[in-house]
Amino acid sequence: MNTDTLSTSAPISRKKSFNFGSFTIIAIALSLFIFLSFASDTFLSTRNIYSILYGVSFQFFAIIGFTYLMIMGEIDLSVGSVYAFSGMFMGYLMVMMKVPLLPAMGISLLVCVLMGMLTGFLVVRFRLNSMMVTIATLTLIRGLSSYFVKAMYGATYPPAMRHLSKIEIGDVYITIIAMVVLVIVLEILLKKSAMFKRMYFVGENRQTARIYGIKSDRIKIAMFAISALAAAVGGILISSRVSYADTAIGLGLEFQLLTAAVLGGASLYGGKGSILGSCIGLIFLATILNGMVIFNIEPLLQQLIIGVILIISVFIDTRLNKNN
Amino acid sequence: MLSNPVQSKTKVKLAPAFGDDDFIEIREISKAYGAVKALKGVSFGIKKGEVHTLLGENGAGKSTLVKIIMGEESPDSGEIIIGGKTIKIFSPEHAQMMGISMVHQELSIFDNLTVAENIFPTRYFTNTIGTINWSSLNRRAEESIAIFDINIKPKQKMESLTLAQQQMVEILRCISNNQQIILLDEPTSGLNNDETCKLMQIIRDLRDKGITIIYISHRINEVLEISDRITILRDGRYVCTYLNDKNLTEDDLVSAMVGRELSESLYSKKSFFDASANPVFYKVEGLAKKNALNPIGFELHEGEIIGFFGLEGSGLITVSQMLYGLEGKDTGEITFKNEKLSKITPPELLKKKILYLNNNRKKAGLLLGSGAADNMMMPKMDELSTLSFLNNSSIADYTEKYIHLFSIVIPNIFEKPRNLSGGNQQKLMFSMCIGTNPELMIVNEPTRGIDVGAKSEIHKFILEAAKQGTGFIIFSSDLPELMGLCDRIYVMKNKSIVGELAGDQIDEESVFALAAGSGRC
Amino acid sequence: MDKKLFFQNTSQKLSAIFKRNEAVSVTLAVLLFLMLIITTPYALDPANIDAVQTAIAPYGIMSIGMMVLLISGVFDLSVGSAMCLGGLVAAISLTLGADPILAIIAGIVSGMLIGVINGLLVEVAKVNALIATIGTMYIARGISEIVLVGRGQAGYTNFPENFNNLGRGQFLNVYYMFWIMVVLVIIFQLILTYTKFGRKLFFIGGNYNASRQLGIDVKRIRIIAFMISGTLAAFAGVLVTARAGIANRYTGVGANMEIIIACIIGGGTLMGGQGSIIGAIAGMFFMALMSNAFNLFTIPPQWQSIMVGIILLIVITVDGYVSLSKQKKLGKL
Repeated sequence: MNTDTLSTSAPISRKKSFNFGSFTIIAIALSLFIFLSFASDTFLSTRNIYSILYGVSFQFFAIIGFTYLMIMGEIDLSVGSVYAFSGMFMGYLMVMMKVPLLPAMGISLLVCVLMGMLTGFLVVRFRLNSMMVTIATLTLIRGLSSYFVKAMYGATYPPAMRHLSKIEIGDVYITIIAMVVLVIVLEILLKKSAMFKRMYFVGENRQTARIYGIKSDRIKIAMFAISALAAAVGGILISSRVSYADTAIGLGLEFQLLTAAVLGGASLYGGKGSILGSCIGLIFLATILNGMVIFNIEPLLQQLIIGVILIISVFIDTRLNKNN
Repeated sequence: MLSNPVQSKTKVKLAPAFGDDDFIEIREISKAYGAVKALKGVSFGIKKGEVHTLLGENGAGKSTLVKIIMGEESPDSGEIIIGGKTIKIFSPEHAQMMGISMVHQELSIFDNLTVAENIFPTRYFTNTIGTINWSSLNRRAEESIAIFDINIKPKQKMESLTLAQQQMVEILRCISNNQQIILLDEPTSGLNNDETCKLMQIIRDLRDKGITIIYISHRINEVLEISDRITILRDGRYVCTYLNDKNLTEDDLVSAMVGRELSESLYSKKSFFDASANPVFYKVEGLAKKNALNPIGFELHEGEIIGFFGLEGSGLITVSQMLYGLEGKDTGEITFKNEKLSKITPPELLKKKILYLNNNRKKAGLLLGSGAADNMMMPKMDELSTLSFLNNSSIADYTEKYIHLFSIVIPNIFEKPRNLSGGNQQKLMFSMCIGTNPELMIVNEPTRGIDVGAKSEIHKFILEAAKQGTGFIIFSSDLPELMGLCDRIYVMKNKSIVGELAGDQIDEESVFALAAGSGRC
Repeated sequence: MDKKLFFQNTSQKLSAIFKRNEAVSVTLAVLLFLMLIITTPYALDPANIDAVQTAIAPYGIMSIGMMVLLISGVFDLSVGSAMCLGGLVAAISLTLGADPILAIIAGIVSGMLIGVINGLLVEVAKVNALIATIGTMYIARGISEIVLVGRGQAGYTNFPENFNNLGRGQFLNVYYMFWIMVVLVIIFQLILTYTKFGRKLFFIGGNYNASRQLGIDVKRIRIIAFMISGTLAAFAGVLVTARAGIANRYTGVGANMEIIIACIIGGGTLMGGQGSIIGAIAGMFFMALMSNAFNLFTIPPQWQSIMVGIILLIVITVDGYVSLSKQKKLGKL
């Protein structure tokens, strides 16, 4: 008797099982928070938490597009350099070319979006490895950034630009509010928007998505553009905060973002990840750093610890995801 | 034991399953994949230095048996005895070490390297000091190639060879590395007549040297040409072994392969619906691609179901993928409902309500790691969302509707397909397509690798949907299935359509006769 | 008749050479070199030649290891950190009174250890190479920084003369380290072309699964490849430290990217299965000569990154386009 063909007229369960990915990082971050709150008096102060969130909010913009691309199975190593470039270019336009704030911002963002589209086009049209292509674009854009650094001779950005990162609503910096709002909105979109759902489908199995009419090429190019745009926004904000062209901006950012995204549930093999998870990943990393500062642990140990965390979390990720 | 299908029309010599001089003994091998029993207690023997062919339709169990011999799968029960010793083969590497190698249909070549390196991947022709002697390697490769007399050079890069040439290199690899037992799985599917004849000669030479060759092929002509003995498998069981002497004919083999007792018939043949008077629903003209497909054309009338039958290498899968834009074509015009289709791409075809069911649901067609509801919504995302926001309750309703309609056994609409049985996976994939109310469905192997119960259910759904007005073009290598579903069947062979049978003309032997065989040497 | 045949043969041989993997990078390097000597007298100035040699040699040695890995289908982002750590370990050993030879060996062994860890992570734990080597990069860098910063301003210095000589000495007006690089290049190119190990790298990079099925010891080979990379990186660090006379915490920062870029220009790809040491060195020569050219012509260094980025993009795109059209022509697409 083949039970496979038993007709079931009973109502089917609609309960969604727990999304493991984000849950783990939230749990770990929460534990860390709790631990630090008990272990130190200074940790749980509003001022301290606030400064952690403020610091994270800049990188958060860059991780948005980065996460989307990881979901689609690609990796964009150029985010760090776009992050650096956008602010410096805008600053250059304002300082050296006397372009007003909004047009300067617009031009800079536009240029970054175009660079993203170019990257996306090359990856899709010539079926290139996104890691290789973005290593090339990273070098190129980093070079452009250095050009602007030199061109500005260390000049400080105009007040209008420097103010951007300091804008507040109520007593809260707008960047933090934007981050919270974006996390909520994007997370909802990720679960409920058709377009974002398609990204997951493409990331999991491009051929299948293709059979059912999903235009994976177009979506990929769009995501490269969005990644560049989001990193550019974050870059303008961080430049605004730093207030002059500093070559250290964005250095190694791509690796930090990779660590945070993977901690947050994204997989290098595509099909997994969420904005919420990536954001919590960033907060987690920042909290570790913060905790070490509070306990006067050698800040240099930070790199070490992050390295170990990264390996362990990816090891677990690989165990769970290497079904392919 | 199935009753012996051979009522001797001629004096055909049946060989006993086992003999005293057997080199390889297959004893009571059984293997099941979930509910699907691929092999049921298969037992027979293979002699040393003979060409022993495994013959049988798709689903007969040939590939499973071969996987077990090669160490890619392990049997649920039974044993393999080689040279008198019971052997457990753990892995393909292990099989290699024991002198067993196989030329698969999906090639395992190194296209970044040269032909010579691909022929001898594990032999390095080292000098006395241990370094690689390239001239030696190339010379030996040249010798192997010369036997075959093909137009390739040892120093050529594999990536510059055509698929057929690459296949030949892989055959050369097996042959040139002193393997004692060589399995060839449809080796001629990519070869032309001349190349096939050469291969036959090589196989004879190898056999004369004492190498045991297990040959798997659908091509009856070739099988008769090259085999010493032929073992027939059907529905996972051993049927019989024939001695290939002058008296053995194609008919004998074909009836052994497909013959069923009437009481065991799985499908009743469809009563013919003559739609030739109805308007043409879908028409293809001049579809062709260099090296992949000779020009073909066909029509589908309103109200009928047509099928395509062909064996390995016939071009069947190519056609289905070209119709849907998954593979490019050089030439060809497709007309749907009297309108020429200008762009053949999945999004465009979906807009016209033409859908495609893929032949390998694990590779493409289902997202195994995403929930059933996610899968169901894929082709229908625009309708199931308002202003680009997914309407989760509609999606849930929709999914549930089809779970009930197709009796898919699944505990939860978010359950992942990888946890379902093959039959339920296939039913899910089917509902994904049917749920969009398609005008036309291009179906590639509707019931591959699923159990009998699910098979018949899907057949019922197809017939039902056709009654409701959906057109079907079914590509399948399961002939009884096609006979139960289709009004007309096109038969393909060697990348062309070689016949069209309708209604009463359709019977297993006629179709098979058209599809099988290749040119004589 | 003979002349025609001769021309045919030579043109066949020439086109075969040009189709070779390294053609692009060697051509670029040679052209750049010629351009340099023609356009400026300073190119051949002894001080300049010194600078170029000592710039090329360490990274050149490291690119050997990277290319070995790339051919087998993986890569190593920890090379810069291994370089720093190698120099540091040697410096510490010297400060503890060890013999220079022992110190050098200690430095090299530290690199070998990093390589083993990378190899085990990637092949046994099945961690993605990108992540694994980022992890070891952070860890090695972290260790180096902790030790060096802990030491304060003094750092590790005052090495014995014969140790410093390793980095500063010359033979026939060419630095020892440069000779070492040349010898290593020759050795490893020979290994790639004429040994089983070398060939296996290509098989593994070309088709990992098929290699495994054929019984090739993929895990062992890859682990050895990682060890080679780590060892060479550490050795390069030792050389650099010997020359500088002090263990510097910034050693090797950014090296990984430069070396990968040099290897890609030199014909390697991240997908594995192709490449050569000659190509890698030519790529490194090209990068170093370009840097030198920029210096000599006092072009701001940022243009160099821009140029390299553009060249890299072109190389990758053209390579992709060519392989795509090859596949289309053979009807595989």
